[in-house]
Amino acid sequence: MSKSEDTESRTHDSSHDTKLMHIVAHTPRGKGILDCIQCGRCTSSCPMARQTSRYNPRRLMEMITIGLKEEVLSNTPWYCLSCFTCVDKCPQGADVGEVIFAIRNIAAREGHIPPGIKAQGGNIIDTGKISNPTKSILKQRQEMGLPEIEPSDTEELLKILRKTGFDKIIGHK
Amino acid sequence: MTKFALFLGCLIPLRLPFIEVSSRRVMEKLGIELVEMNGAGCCPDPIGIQSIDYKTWLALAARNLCIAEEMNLDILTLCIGCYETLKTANHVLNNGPEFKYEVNEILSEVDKEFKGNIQVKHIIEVLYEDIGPKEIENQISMPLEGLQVATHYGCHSVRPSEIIQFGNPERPTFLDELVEALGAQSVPYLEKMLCCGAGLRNTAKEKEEEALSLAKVKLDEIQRSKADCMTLSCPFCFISYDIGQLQINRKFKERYNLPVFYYLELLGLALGISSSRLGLKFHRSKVTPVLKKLGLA
Repeated sequence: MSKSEDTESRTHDSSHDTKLMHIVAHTPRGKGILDCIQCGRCTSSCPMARQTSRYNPRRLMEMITIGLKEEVLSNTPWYCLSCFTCVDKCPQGADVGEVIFAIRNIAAREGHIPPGIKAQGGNIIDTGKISNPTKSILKQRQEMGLPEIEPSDTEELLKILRKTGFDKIIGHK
Repeated sequence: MTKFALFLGCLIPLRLPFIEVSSRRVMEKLGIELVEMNGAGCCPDPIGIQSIDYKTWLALAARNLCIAEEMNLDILTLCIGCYETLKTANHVLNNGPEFKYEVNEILSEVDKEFKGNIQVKHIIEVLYEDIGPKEIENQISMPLEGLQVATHYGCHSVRPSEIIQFGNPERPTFLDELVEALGAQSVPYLEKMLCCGAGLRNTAKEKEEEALSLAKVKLDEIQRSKADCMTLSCPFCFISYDIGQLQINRKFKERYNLPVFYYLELLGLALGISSSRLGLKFHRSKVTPVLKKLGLA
């Protein structure tokens, strides 16, 4: 096989989805992917990248442009702390931290949502808040003379959540 | 009298109610009126809900903003997560007509309309800008003399800086100035701007070790600085270092016992509010060493 044939077959390899970058770029947060110059300033300033070699935002941006969809939508983007250091540091305004949200939104629609976050979403649908108070917290509140917890208008919230399709995205029944 | 719509959110009233107590008691003492926001929901969570669906996140935030708009009051948040969500949504909706149009179409389901005529402020921003360190210094009755404090800013109190636009995002000083206004000393330490790691705790249990080791880096530096305690202004950061410290001790066989204060608690003590009225006994990392140093225990 000649060299050009080899490149050809690699581009059509099913593990490379060349549309991925364009899909990301067309989401409200994903435009930055088009501006990335792979300088690595995001990784050098990332507090998570210094803790673990499993996370490298520059690599993640690269994987989006190459179209390594499976890797991109896997566990990796969930290592981001959303501290936005990279958004502040990027010389290109590629908003790496924002692109991560775009990928997570795409991953969520394909069913990849970490259980902790899925539970938060379920609580929002049920109570309007991300968690429920324990009995001991309610007792603490009373002991300190705090007012009762103001309930959210769940009926109104549900109308909004149905309209945006949130319940379907997280598969809430 | 200055008045704000009080946005409580979830984490503080549902998990750390003592932070709500100190904030309410201190603001009352400083003559700031806080009005409840009836029917408000989660801000919603800037990491979890925003990770699932951006449009839902924006629409729910807009609904909360609408409640304050109807009250004709600026929002005051106690949590930096709520601050980031509501301030960012307000910014996006005010600067992106296409987002405003789309969100208002969603909100029409519940007869609400985002107008964009209020501001979102965090309680530290109100203390620093609306009251000011000088005035706080004048108001306190019990200066925290001799207390060495390590300040922790919390990522979203300054970033994304293009939207937050409060303080210098690289080397902010507002929290240090507020600490010094109490008669205490803000001690310098390395890794001051390091993230607490809370963003990882929610996204996956299996990444907890990485989150804890990140918090540990900062605890080591604070210990080296000989500070008596640390102070911060975000409930997510609070959990990372307060309960987090106990988890770190277990996981890494360490023996940290650094008291952690939400800034309003230190301010409350300096205003002469008793530690029991501030609910300080509910902290998981005990604050007694600080109370002893101040002659309050």
